[in-house]
This record gives sequence, C-alpha cells and structure tokens, in this order.
Amino acid sequence: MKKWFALLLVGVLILSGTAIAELDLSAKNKIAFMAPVTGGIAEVGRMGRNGAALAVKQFNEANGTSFALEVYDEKNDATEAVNIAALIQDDPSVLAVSPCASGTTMAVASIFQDAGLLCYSWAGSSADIPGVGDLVFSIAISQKYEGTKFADALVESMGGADKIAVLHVANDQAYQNANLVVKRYEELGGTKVYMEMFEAGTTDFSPMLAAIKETGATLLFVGGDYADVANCFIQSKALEMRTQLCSSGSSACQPFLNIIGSQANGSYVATTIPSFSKITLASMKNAGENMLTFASDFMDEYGESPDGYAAQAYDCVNIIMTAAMDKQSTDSADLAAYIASIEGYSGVSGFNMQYNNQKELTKEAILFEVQDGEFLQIYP
Amino acid sequence: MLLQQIVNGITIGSMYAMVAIGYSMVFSVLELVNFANGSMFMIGAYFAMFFLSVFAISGAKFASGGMILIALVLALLLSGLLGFLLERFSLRGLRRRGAPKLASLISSMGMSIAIDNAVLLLFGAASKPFPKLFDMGTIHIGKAVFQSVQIVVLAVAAVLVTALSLIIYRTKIGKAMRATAQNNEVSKLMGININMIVSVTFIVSGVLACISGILYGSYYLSLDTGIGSDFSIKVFASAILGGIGSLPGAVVGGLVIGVIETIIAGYISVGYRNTIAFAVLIVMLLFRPQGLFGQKQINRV
Repeated sequence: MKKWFALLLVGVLILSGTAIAELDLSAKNKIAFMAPVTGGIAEVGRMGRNGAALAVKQFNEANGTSFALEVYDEKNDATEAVNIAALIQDDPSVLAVSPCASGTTMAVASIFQDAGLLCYSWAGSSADIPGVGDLVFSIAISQKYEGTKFADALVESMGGADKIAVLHVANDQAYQNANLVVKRYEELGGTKVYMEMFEAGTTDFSPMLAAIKETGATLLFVGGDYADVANCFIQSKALEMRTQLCSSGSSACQPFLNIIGSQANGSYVATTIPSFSKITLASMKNAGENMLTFASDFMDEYGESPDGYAAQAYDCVNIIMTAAMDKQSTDSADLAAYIASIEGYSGVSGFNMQYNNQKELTKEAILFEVQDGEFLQIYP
Repeated sequence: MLLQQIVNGITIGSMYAMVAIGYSMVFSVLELVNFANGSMFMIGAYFAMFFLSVFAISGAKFASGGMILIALVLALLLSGLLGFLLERFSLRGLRRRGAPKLASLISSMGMSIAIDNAVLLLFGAASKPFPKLFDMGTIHIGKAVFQSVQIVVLAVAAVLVTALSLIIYRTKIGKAMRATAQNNEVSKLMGININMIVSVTFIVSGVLACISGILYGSYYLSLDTGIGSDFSIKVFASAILGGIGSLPGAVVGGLVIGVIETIIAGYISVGYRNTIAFAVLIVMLLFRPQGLFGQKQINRV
C-alpha cells in the first residue's frame, strides 16, 4: 500500500513539475511594482516593496520559477505614475503591473487596460478602480463596502448605536468611507452629531475636538493616516474627552503606537487587514497559519513586523504569480479571469476575500482594541 | 467653548509669532523673505527630538532635568549654527556679487528644499513621537481645559519677545541691527560689520525657529517633515499682517492668525482654516501693504 502511495506521489510530483516546466517565463516574467518609495508616504512604499519582494522570493524558491519584481518609484504622484506607465507599457517582459494608492492607480489604470496589460493595485480602494476595465483589479476592499462593515462592527461591540462624530481626511476614499459609516450607524438607530473633514498632515485638531466635546458624542470615528489619527487622539485626551475613539485601518500599525503610546489604550481600530505582532495574532481567533508564517518570515527577512500594506502587496503579487501558474499562461486576459474567479481566498491581508460580479473585493471587518501597546481583536 | 478656542488659538499663534519674528528680523536687515525659515523650524524640532532621545531619555523615562536642558541647548546651538551656515554659504556670495534680491529669495527656497530632504533622509518619512516635556497637570475654567504646556508656550513667547525687544532697542548690537535695517551702505561707513550683523540675525532667527519647534513638539507630541511647510504660510501671513520688519507686528500678527483660524475651524469649517491665512495676506496687501505696525515706504523719484 505504501509503495502504491509513494508511486502516486511521485506521479503527482512529476505531473506538477511538468506543469511548471510548461510555463515559459523567459520572455515575460516581470511584475512591475509601482510604489512611493520616496516622498511623504515612503513608509507605505517601503513596506509594500518589502512584502512584494518576499512574495516573489518565496514563490520562486517553492516553485522553481523565475518571476522578477521590478520596483518603480512613483512618489505617490499621479504625473510621475503616468510617466512610469508610459515606460512599462512598452516593456515586453512585463507580465503584470501593480500600482499603489487609489490616486496613482486611477491615473495609470486606463493606460494599462488599453495596452492589454493586467493592472492589479496593491493598495487602491477607490470604488472606481474595477470599472476602468476587465484587466483592472485591486487587492484592497472596495470603499463601497468597508464603512458599512465598520459601523456594524462598532454597534455590535459597543452594545448599540448612540451619538457619532466623524472626522475624516479630505480624500475620496475617506469621504466615502465616513459617509457609509454614518449612513449605516443611523440605520442602526444612531445619530450623527458632527462631521468634518481635515487636510492630510493636520496637526492641530483642537478646534474640531472642542466642538465635538460640546455635542456629547459617544463615539468619535476618525478616518485618516495613522499620524493624523494619533495627533487627534492625543489632543482628545488633553481635552479630557470621554468619547470612545475609533480610527480606520491605517492606524493598525506600530508607528501609530509609537507616537501615541499609552494614550491609545481603550481606543478602537476598525480594519479589514490583520495586524501582525505576536500578541495581536494570538488574540485573533481566526488567524490562519499562513498569517503567522508571513509575520515570522517578514521579521526574519527585514527585522521588523509587517504592516497591512506589506500584507496587501504580498497577497497581490502572490495572486499574480499563482494565476500565471494556474492558467499556465502569461496572457493578461487569462490572469484577469483567474483573479475574477477568486472566492474565499486565504491570504494574509484579510479573511474570506472574494471578488463579486463587479470585480470588487470584499472581506470581513475586524475591530481591534488597543491595550498596553498591542492591538487585541474584539470583533468578530 | 469660545474660551477654549481662544486659548488654543493663542497657543498656536504664539508659535507662529516666534518664527514670524525671525522672518521680520531677516527682512529688516536684508529685505529678504527667508523661505527656509519654515524648514529651520522643522529641523530645530527634529534636532531637539534627536538630542532628547540621545541624552535625556532612557526608554520612556526621563533621566534628569539637567540632561533635558543639555539636549535642548544642543538643539538650539545646532539650529543657530545652521542659521549661520545658511546665510554664509547660500546668501552671502550672492550679496557680495550684487545679485538681485530675487536670486537670494530663490536660494532660500532651495535651502528649504535641501533641509527638508536632509531630514527625510536622516529621520525617515514616518511621523515621530516627541517626548512630553511639560506635564504639570491641567487647569479647568468652566468646561474649558488648559494644559500646562499651553501656559509654558505663552510664557516662553512673552519672555522671548521681551528679551528680543530689549536686545534690539537697548543694546549696541541691536542698534547696529536697526542701523543696518535702515541703511546698509551708511551703516558700513559708520564702521558696522554688516556681515557679522547679518550672521547674528540669521543665528537668532534659527534659534527662534528651534524654540518654536521645541514648543510645537511638546504641545502636539509628534513631528513630521511636513510641519515646516505647513507652518511657513501661516508665519508669512502673520509677518505680513503685523507689518513685515516689525517685531511687535510679528507678535500681534501671529496671535491674530492663530486665534482667527482656530475660531473659524471650530465654528464655521476646518476647510476655511488655511484659507484664512491667504485671505488675510491678500486683504492686507491690497488695503494696507505695510501691515498693522509697518511704516509706509515712500519711494523718492
């Protein structure tokens, strides 16, 4: 029996080996990874680049393939991204392109769609991205769904809806997200008492917070970059506000905790991406083995914990390579067909990831509570 | 809420005022708007954060008051030195060759970009925590809450403005500064070392920017490389409002801009917060270009 089993195993290995050998990557093996590795959000680009590089390294080692990652610094600037796109679309060795945030992705997506090249954004959550064309996708949850899921998680965790105040950074994503949070919160019986937007990089939140304090809000939801959120939370503590603080997912990272320190205790972070410290992962009932391995491999490779951007880039690049292997093709239409059919994907950047018939990614919401410098999962 | 907003506005305004004084001093002496001043403010705060982390803080705890003082003094010295170097290597050559004022202005912009990028390279793009230097509790008046750091900011601003006024109006070097501001050539004929006066002005401007940066870090407890550019426009508007070249004008301008923007952000919309600085700038330039405290210049034909 053992002999037969061994023979069967060898047969499977030979067949799978043959399949690997069939995929010819000699002419087309490059994943063009666009990331802001310099400029104001270089930290995002650095993390994303590291996540993507780790994915390529591990995939090649495991499968004997020769995928290559080429990083293009788009500086989070749409003009720069368009210039880079012009270079990439003429490069025949490019298998797929992975742009970063919504702004730069929207700037280049139609260029790659017209060039017949798969465009798979690793951080863009704009609801407009999937609509650009059949070759355009994002690994980030669509803005159309995130806010609603956050409101559900908050109301359930806080035992009901009451008075909500919302501050959000002045961009499309945060605006849409904040409005969805408020809409759902009101549907669940709550009342919006204050809503205001602020510019990215705002340090002084005291005028808004003093106004919010007057409203008697029981929940303050802040959508923005972790540094802005940290400033806002620190100042709310200085004003001795008793409101429950909650921020959107970009705060689920170590730099946020470094800035805010113990003042973050008790605050919530609503996200769809896990956090990767050992304690956080231990608090996550549904954390898979792949998440633990990713966190540990990333630490070994770079000497630090990954963040959500690293996780998204890791998943994004892995899916592109898996698509090529699965379809035994480097054709963008085949890769796009594979991505569109993803259901219940067990990635490291979220739970139960799937694409709907609009090519929009959905996944589960997670609510963390900050306690003693760690994010502890309290929902689901 | 109004009292809370006013005190918050005065706190921010005091920080604007300190940097605006530096702007005004440089403008008085060289008739130059030093666009690197915002970057000096930012790098001053980073110097303080760096020295505090090296000398004064072990983990999350402070070593001793003396070590904090040493760290802050080092930051001030380095900022003063940077102010000196900025003038010595990016402006003096242009002045010696009789280059137009526009060339100096562009040079100061270039220095601003160089400083911002140097900080990005040295400290990275991520926001950094700034240690809490002043934690002596809070004061409650009605529903309003005032932090001890706000009182420190106001006190430091008041002491600095008084000290600078005394230096400029009561000391020999102050007299030389005022003479240089009035007429560069005649001052030179009177034996004043113009280069030395300009250097001192830039050193003082750098130190003031650093003090403001330290207070900013202590108040907001975080720093990022963008704070200089954000601050620049408000400080420039403050100097224009008060009358560029006028020391009391810079103080009043800073306080007025700080209070107005806070009240507008609290009662109308945060969206108008930065607009107000530009609005003040445009209105003043249209109706009173010399500012509230500036003197009207008459150009003789």
